[in-house]
This record gives sequence, structure tokens and C-alpha cells, in this order.
Amino acid sequence: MCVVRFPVISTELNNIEKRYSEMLARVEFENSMLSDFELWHMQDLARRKKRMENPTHEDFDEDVGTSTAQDFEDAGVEEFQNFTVTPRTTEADNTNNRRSLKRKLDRKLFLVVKQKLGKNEEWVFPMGANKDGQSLRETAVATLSSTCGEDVKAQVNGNAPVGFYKYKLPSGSATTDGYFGAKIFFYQAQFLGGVPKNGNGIVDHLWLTQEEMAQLLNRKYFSAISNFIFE
Amino acid sequence: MLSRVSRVCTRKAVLHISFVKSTLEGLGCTSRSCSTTGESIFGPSFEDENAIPEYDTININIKGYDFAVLEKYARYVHNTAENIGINVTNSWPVLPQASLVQRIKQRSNLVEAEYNLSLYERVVQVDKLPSTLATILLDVIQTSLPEGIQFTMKYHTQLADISRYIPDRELKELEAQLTDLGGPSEDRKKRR
Repeated sequence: MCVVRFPVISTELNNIEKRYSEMLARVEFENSMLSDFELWHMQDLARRKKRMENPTHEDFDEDVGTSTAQDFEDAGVEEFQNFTVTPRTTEADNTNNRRSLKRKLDRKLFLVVKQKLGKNEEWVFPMGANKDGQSLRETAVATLSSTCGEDVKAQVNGNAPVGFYKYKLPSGSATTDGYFGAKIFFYQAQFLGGVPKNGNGIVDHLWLTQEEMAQLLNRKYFSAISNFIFE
Repeated sequence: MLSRVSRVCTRKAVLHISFVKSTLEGLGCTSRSCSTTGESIFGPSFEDENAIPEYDTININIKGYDFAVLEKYARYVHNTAENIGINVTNSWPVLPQASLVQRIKQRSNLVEAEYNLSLYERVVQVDKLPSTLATILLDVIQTSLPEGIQFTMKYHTQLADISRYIPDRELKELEAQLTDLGGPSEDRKKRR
């Protein structure tokens, strides 16, 4: 069961993209016509000039209380300076807290748990056995709540699995039923909330990006996963 | 259509589809085969056993306040869906919802600032979405969703069609006046 926290913010532009977008913005600015605000400002300046030349003319008596375009712009600038922008990198990024969901807001984070499979504890996506009579999707949902606790809420999109991994049990340790391997079907789900609890099957959990998973997970397992995860 | 779809899904995924049919029946998906059902002149044709269940017409509503970002993103969704192999039937804009936001000074009625916002909306309609591609499409849309954009996916209803039209205010006013005056006159024929 591949639980994903989708990116919260868009990725930053790389160098070429930044320069190109700046250039496009400049081209657009040069090609564009004057906006309402700029026309208003120009009218104000023309009016002021006329007023300087002819101060006692009755047309200009109403001008005392109106706000000029410049005032409007100044108020806008002041408002902008008072506004604090939330930084793109959070505290979790700085401390590299891999259990936190607030890390790496522009990447996808996948839930990886340390589960006891047979004798060893392995870093895997939360997994469990399929019971007879249960469809694969129901199994996936039930597995998530049984391993990670009732708290974790995830929304599975679609009834079909997204990936598949086949492995053989190490020779000599075939189960009593005579099975010598297993097939794992992956379902992808969007993470909605909750914190995975250790104890029911998992010993530890981490929220990792694709590269971090490549380092931590079994190589063949990761190559099966990388068939369906993308950014 | 089936050959294009199988290029996208791996072979392993296609083999294990048979269980999916029973679970999808309750969701209103219809199983469509790629060969014609019913009798043909060469004899009865059989339904494709491995046909992937498909969804009925689905509308993807994309809403946002930033017009440039919204338009580009709607175009991106449309193009990506087509490139994956999904049958995109239609895409249209919906009337923007205008809203007036006033920031009021604390403990007074003075308006500090006023903003006129418009919530723009674009709709991309997909038909016969295979359930295998539905997950992928949702994944792509959610991953590439820009800041400030919301999207919803719903089945197509008649209400969605009706909401495309700008209501004719003059006509409605005249109709209201007519009902106030007592309805349309019935003795027109007599007068002639």
C-alpha cells in the first residue's frame, strides 16, 4: 500500500527557466498597452501640471479630497511590505526530520515502514496478506489500518493495483502450506491524515522521497516500485 | 483502443484485471468490449473477456483565481490526458464567480481595502476512462497541481450542461412581469 503525500507547493524554477520567464515577462510588458492604473496616474500628473499653471480655476476645487493614483500605489506598497511570506523550506527541512510530513514541500513523500517479514525487519511499504473473499483493494485498505493504526487515513484512487513485485522466499524456509514465494500488488493512496503508530506490525516509519527510498530499500523491490512512482 | 491502453499498462497489470469487474459493477461502470456486441453477418461476436472496465462521462472542474495559471494548467491537463490515451471529448470554460472581499479595520466599520475577485473555471470532459488509467490520471493531476488551483472530478450531469449558459436577465424580467400581470392571455385567437 503506497501512501503518498502529494507536493504542497510547486517546484522552483531552475536557472534557465528563471531567466526565460523573466525575459518573457519583460517582452510582455513592452508589448502590452497601458493599464487603467497607469492611465489614471498619467491623468493625475496632467491635471496637476494644469493646476500649477492656473491655480484659481474652479475645475480644480474638487481635487482637494480625491486620492491620486500615487496614493493608491503607496498604500499598496505599504501593504505588501507588511506582509510576511512563508518560506519554502520549513523547519523540518532544516533539521532533516524524516518522520515529519512538512519536509520537502515541493516533492512527493512516500510512507515507508519497518515491518517484520519472517525473521528480518525490512523497510517496505505497509503490506499484508490477502484473505480469501476480500478483494485486493479491500485488503490494501485493511492492511494499512492494521499495520499503521486506525489513525492513518488514506484515500485509494481506483480499484486496480498500480504495481507488482514478485519474490521467492529464501530456500529452505518455505511456509507450511508449500508456498515458496509471494506476489505483492501495490495500491496507491493519497494521504489524508494521522500518524502511523508503532506496535501492530511496524517498528518504525519514515516519509521519504524517491532518492532516499532508492538508498534505503531493497534494490529489486525499489525497481518494482519505480515502475509506478513518478514526480 | 485496447492496443493503445496496453502499451501504457504493463503486461502484468493487465493480467490481473478479472477481479476488478465485480467490484466496479456497483460504481456504475459499464464494461465495454472493443469488438461489436451482438450479431454480425459472420455470426455472433463474443465480448472481450479481458475488457478493462470504463467509467462513464466524467467532468474535471479546474477552478482558480489566477487566470494565466488556470488557463495554462487546464491546457496541460487536456494535453496530458490526450497523450496518455484518454478520450477527451470536450473542454469548456464556465462563467466566473465574482466576489467582493472587504478588509475592515479592527473594531470599526471602516473599509481598509476592497478586492474584486473572480473565480474562473475550466472543465475538461473525458469519456470511457479506463479504470487503469484513472489512477494514473488522478496521480498526474494531483502531482502537478499549481498553488491556488482546486480541481474536482464528477460524473457528468445535466446541471453541468445548464451551468454553461449565461442567464438572460432581460427575458427573465419580462417573464416575471408577465406572471405578475396574470399570465399569458388566452383569447388571442378570438381577437383575430
